[in-house]
Amino acid sequence: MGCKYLRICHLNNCATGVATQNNILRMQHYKGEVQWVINYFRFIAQQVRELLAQLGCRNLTDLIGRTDLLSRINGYTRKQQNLDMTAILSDGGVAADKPRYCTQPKNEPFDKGELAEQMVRDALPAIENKSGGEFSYTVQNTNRSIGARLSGEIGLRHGDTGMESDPIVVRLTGTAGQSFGVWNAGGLHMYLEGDANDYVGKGMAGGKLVLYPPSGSNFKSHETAIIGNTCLYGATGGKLFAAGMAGERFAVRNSGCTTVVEGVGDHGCEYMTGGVVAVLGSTGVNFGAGMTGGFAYVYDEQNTFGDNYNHDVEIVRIAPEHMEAHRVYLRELIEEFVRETGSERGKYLLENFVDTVGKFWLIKPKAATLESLIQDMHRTAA
Amino acid sequence: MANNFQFIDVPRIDPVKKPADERIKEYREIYGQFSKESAAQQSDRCLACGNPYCEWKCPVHNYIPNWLKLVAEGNILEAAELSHRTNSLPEICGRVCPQDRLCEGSCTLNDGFGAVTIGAVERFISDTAFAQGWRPDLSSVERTGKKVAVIGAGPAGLGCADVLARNGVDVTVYEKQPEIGGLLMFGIPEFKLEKEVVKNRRKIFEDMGILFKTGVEVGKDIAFQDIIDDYDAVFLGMGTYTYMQAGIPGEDLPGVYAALDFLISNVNHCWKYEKDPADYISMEGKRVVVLGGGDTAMDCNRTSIRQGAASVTCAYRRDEENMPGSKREVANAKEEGVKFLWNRQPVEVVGDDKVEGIKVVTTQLGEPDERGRCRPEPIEGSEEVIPADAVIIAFGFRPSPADWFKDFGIELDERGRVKAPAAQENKYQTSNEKIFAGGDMVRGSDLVVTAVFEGREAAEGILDYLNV
Repeated sequence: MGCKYLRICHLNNCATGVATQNNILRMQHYKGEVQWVINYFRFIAQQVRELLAQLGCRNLTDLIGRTDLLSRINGYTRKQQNLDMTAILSDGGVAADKPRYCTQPKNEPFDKGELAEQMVRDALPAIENKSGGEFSYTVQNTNRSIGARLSGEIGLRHGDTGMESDPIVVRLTGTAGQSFGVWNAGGLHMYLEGDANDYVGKGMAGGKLVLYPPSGSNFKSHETAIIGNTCLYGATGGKLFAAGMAGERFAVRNSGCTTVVEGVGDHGCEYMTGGVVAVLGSTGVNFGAGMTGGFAYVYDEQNTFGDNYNHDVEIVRIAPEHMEAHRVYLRELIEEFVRETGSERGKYLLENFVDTVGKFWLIKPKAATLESLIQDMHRTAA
Repeated sequence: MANNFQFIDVPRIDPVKKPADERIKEYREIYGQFSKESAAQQSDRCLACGNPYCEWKCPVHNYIPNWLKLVAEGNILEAAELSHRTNSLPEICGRVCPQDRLCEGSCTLNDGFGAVTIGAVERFISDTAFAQGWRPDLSSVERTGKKVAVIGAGPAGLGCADVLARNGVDVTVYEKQPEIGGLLMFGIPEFKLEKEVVKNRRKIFEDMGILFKTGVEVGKDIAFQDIIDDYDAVFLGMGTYTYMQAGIPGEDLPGVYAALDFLISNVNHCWKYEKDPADYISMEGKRVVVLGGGDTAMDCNRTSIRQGAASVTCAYRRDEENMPGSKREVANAKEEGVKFLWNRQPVEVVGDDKVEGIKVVTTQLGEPDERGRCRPEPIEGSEEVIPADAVIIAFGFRPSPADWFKDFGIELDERGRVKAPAAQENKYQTSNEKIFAGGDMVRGSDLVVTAVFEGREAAEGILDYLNV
């Protein structure tokens, strides 16, 4: 099929045009045919069947644990001959009549999803009537994937964006368990006073997630974690505002969500392909690794960002004259963030915007021009 | 820097080559040098294939993608260090290797993008590092107290001496010519390798503690028995110097020359090494016909042009596609005015008491032989005579074993090559356990870089033998 085993599949620059989205490489340098791929898989399947037949097995699962079918060869070198294979060839003490793989239909989760079901019962009429409404609950970290059930019901009836004009507003207090707001649909706005675990907004398609610290907190929100790792993984739309720091791999594979947080851990915006990320505080290392779309703003108060970004991306200042569109857009974004979360950090930046704007970086994929970013920005805003 | 699409954004750009009309007036290298920026830009085109084909193809297995990355990042001295880890003569290989059939020929980008300019970068690395004062670092080497003699200061001998010196062995290199390098000095013409490069390399090796005894011929000026008594082991890297004859009538007429005699006489003449001015073979004003299609034939062609030959014609018995030499050298020869006659097999040197012409017969390519190369078959009645004042025969070289080999129990194979196989307990050991051998005299005539490799490998065999 043309593959030369270059092992650069992850870089999008496959010279044989196999593992790339680059049009020049695909059009001018890919030498394979669709039929070859079909043949390739057909041959693999054929050979697997032949090998199975030789071994007297009907299914691949029949082979699991059958170390009795393996025999040892001598090895060519002294080192190979001295390898101790007993651990690999052991049957692990599993009796021959016992199952070799999991035969239970599934692993029952600890979380029965009771709160999520309660929320569906409460909000279902408002969803069905597309009338919107407001509901309040307390959450704790055993309540996982809160919001997903509502998004499912919304999506089923109105699609990803059909309820945006009449949103269901959910007000929560406490600590949300993993995957808060996962697959969030347009028309679901969740406000959480407290904090949340990993995967907030994973795969979210629309709507809004707003997190802020409990009132009366005396810590500095921009130095305190409010959401965990890997938030917004693969999100395609919507907004996430969190008045505090996010963990590592924030907005990994984000392709369309607009978000503001007050700090992120290592590997921010990894593999990001779209959307806008504004970080109003410090970042960890390796920011922007593999980022090929969208853009980000980072407030670099300590002048450390130069050491922290991955050179897959380029960074530019937004203070110069010709960057006015970005300054205006960033300011509006922070204003919206402050409206939603009441963030002290956001207020400080706005009040001193003339000074603080000079410390912001715009982070963009190398291939993207500044002009194209502005177009993307309008598209995101639209 | 570090642009994943550099290989599309930036085309392959070789260092500037001097125009042909300028370069045929001088015995100087024809390729210019990269600037630091252009070297970095070209190096960055490397894809760093996970399975680097260039590295596998390279006889010494240079860490090519790794030093390309260092050059792209501007770390020339680190690149020089890495380049010297696998190659004893990188600045020379960068100049004389046929990269188009080795590393660059197997470069992934050679298929539709233009290969990375590996040879030019290799040369750039060492030249630049040397100019900045970089030298191989032997400060942490522990002396072993062992002494090894190397006979022959060609690529194999130098490769062997390099590795031995880096492992704390005292090395003395005996060379019968007045300067080190072997064919690097006397065989390869200066338009491919300027002799200052070889002299600079001698200086570097001497600074590493290698002792050269030039102008000393073993078996004549010094007895081999004395050497074998004085040293813990001996490496032979004496090359192949017997030229292959054409086996045609008239071959012994005055005006017929062996390629190497011709090339050596030219270097001797240019560098004032010649013992007698009459030894200089000049092609000035002559109609020259060179027989052969390898790199040596190209060297003879292009040297004749520089000497002011009236015309230079190269006759080869297969077609251009099937010639053994580097395509790049053929192109350079064409640019410089060499006329090629493909599919011509010489059948007789014509002339009464000196060469007047060469009779050739046109061939067509028949079935491939056991090595996969098509046999040329003569076409009946196609004889023609090419007028010539001089004929140079460049059909390759056969081993030239010294007569004293047998006195020391050094066995030869049926083709006269020294038996010193790589696959044995001490690599490249001969039938005399104290004597090792490598390079052309073991494998038959081949590339500079293969000789370097065998010399280096033999050094490891010697280290194993000496238990150090």
